Amino acid sequence: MSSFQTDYFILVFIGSLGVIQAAASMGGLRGLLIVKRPAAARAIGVALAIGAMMWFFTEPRIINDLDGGMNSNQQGLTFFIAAVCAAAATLAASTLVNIRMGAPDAPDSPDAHGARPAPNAPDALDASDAPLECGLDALRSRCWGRAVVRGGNRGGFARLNLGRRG
Amino acid sequence: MADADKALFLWINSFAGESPLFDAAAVWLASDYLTPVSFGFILLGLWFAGSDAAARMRWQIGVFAALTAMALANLFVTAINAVYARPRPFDALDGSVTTLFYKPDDPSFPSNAAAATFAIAIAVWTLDRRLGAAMLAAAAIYSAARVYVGVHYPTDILGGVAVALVAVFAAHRLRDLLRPALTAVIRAARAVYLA
Repeated sequence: MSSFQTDYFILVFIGSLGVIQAAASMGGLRGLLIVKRPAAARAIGVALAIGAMMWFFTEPRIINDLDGGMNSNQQGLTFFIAAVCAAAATLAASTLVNIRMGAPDAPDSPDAHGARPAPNAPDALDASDAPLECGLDALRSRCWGRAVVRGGNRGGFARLNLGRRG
Repeated sequence: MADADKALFLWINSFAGESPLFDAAAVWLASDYLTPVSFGFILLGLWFAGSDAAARMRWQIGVFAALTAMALANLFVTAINAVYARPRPFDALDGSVTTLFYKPDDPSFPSNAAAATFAIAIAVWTLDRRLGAAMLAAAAIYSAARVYVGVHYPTDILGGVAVALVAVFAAHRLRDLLRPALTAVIRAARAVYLA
């Protein structure tokens, strides 16, 4: 990877971290936040995205792809990889930061009060999925790692008919 | 038409080199990285947008449609370039063009940059008028800056917009055809709390 491509990767990685934090705070996905306060997460997210852009353009970036720049295919692929890495880093970091969120003995845990989404809850894909919180909405009340473990224990994958043969 | 296009290009480009501040801003706005990366960030943010799962599903299918439109726009531009290779203005009008940008070696018509960014902006506009309008304005400024810095004629931009419209239409038809597959992908991502 050229130094230009490395810089582009860093731009997208840092910017994506910021965009995910800002979007998660606006959507109430507290389990995805790396800082506890949504307003702070939003401010940090916006600052990361804008800061990454400003950092990237501190050097001249008007370079033809034949002279060390990147063509559109390289840009697209690098963007995708960097964004996926940023999402993975967000999931790992937010799970560590919010590890207690959604624990059965945590005071704000939905499990602690026996709460379940209603059968017609908006995150239900269809009637058979209703009792199981699924998708990003589960991250309103628990961290990603805990949501995955809980979903796996309750047969979330089987309920979505993934991996069924025949 | 061709003469009017060249005259308009030369008039816009005549301002290049007059103001270092304006030139620097135009070069920055015309960059291959500012608007495309910003649009990528917006699409990433839209993946997590929506107040409930139904709204989020709509946005996420919209993200797929926008990416499909962009890919189709690139494909259409490549196909057009295979049969029609218009020289860049700095090559065709050598001596009378102020070039503030690197000199791309691919054909001028239609503008790939305009086609890709307008495709994304129009696709988002079909989902959200306000955000789409802002993105259309950004795509227009990006495209205008590329004329100013001397790498495109105005009709290259118009051609790019036309390609984008066709690409968005095709992407929406494809989206409807592929909706079961897209829904399955999103359901799979939901199973691991990623959608």
